[in-house]
Amino acid sequence: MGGLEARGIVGPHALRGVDLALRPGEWLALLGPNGAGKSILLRVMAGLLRPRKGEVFLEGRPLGRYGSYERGRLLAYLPQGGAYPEGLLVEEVVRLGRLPHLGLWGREGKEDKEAVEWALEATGAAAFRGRLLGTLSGGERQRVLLARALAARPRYLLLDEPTTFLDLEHQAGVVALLRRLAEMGLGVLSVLHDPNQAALAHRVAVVREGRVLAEGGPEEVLSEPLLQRLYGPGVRVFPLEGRPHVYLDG
Amino acid sequence: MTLSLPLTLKRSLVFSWLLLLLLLALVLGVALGAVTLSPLEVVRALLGQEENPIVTELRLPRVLGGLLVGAALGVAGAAFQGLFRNPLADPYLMGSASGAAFAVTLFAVILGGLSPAFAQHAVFQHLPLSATLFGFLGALLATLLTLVLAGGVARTGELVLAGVVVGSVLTGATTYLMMQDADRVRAVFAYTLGNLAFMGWPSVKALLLFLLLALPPLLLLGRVLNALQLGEETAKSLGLPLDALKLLLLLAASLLTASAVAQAGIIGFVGLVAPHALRRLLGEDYRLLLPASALGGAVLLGFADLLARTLTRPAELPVGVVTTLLGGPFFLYLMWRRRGRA
Repeated sequence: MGGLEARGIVGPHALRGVDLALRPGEWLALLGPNGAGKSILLRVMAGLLRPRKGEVFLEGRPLGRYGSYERGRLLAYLPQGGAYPEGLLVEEVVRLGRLPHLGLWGREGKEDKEAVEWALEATGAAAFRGRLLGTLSGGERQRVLLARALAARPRYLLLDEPTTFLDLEHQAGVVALLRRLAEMGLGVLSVLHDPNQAALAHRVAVVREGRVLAEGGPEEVLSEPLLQRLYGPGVRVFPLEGRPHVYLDG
Repeated sequence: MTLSLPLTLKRSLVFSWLLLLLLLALVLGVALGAVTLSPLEVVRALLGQEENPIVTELRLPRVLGGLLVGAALGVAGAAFQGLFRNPLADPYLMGSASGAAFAVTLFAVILGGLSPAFAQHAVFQHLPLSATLFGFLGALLATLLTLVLAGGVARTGELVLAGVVVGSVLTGATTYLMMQDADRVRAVFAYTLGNLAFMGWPSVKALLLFLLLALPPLLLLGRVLNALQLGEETAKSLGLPLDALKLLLLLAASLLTASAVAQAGIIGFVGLVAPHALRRLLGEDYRLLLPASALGGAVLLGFADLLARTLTRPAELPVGVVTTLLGGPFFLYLMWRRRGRA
């Protein structure tokens, strides 16, 4: 059985009974107001936090029964913003993504090098591979960190607000990349703030107060009544070319 | 931060310079003193072509010991900074060195009261191994106390503040222990200030032993420190057994600190300055930064000791005074630069 599946997750923190399934080959966006528990849920599904109740299954097996390196080869996790080493070379950062395959002292082989090249190319980070992370713009840096996550060649990619702090052009780049990765067969789960970006995902799950409030295709989930319940009465939705567009009615 | 020269060239240049300076520190350190020797005499004595007891019995162990202490402090500083992802962490500022000094002093007191033997550092001459192990426990406990007081490692300011508090309290306690025997205070005081004057071959052997024990695991964990710079959750998501690795890093860095303190007292700022200066030249790749910090720490302390021995000739300053006088302003500069950025 494929997929990454959360069943009956209660705790830690805000989560109050979450069921959610990510399938290979789809991009699933997690949407919801601040403090709803999206990031916590993402970390639980990445195996970084243990739920108080319930369990996460990775391809049918409880996540806790995987060895940590094995889990790292299947699941890649990219946290939100935060710390990054200014003085590390882009290439070394991306190569760190191979650690789940190499362990502590493994030597890099042909396969590792190919995976790093692929990740650098796929994200467009190859152009600045020889530079220090601290010399890049926010958008470039985010592509490098994404390449680091991809270098493991994971089957599932879990991202916490990958477009925050990026300008529109780079947001569009990341969004297009996530779609492409899903089309290549990866399961992509991303926390997003912007409903218009979530509208580009294959599926959207709306999280509120520790529960999944709605789940399904964007055109069905991103309805005006639901979004008004989430974000207040000023939110309007109008469909265009088969996609919901969300805006604020001043 | 820029690396404008081709990177590999720049990196090999940095390492070549470090080795060259290390050699220079060794030769000058052995040559200078009450009787000044010519560099040629020094080299011939070092190569065993000429017997010279001043070199082999007195100066060589002191200089070698000093270089090893510097190497231990340099690596420990780099490791603390990487482990705690905190650029101001170092054995001195984390309270770790004071913990080791307190434990070593306590060890001496327990062993023989504050006997004349202690004043002459017989304890350290004859029992450097057990003194280091005792100091190791002290360093470890002090570091843990600092971490608890700071509520973790994330907040740079709190971490340094807690480290300074722990360090001050332990230094006070050390002074109290020493004051129990006022006659000897002068000699003992010189020890807590950081002093290489008491180095003999036993100290060199002890330092070598502990460096051989603690250095290889640290150097092999350079990549783990690199991964940690991406944040703890990312490192964990890469599958690394982080709790065990962090403990190993902490133990190794504390052991290095303790081995330095047990032989030479508290020598501040070497562990801060050496990794910082090298980070600007090499970047933040810990696979390079750790070995470079060992060399850099050795060079720094080697030259600081030259100053300590020549500034007030024929008297001698404790080398810890020199490193503190040089390192204090450097620390302020770092604080000022960080504030400028924030």
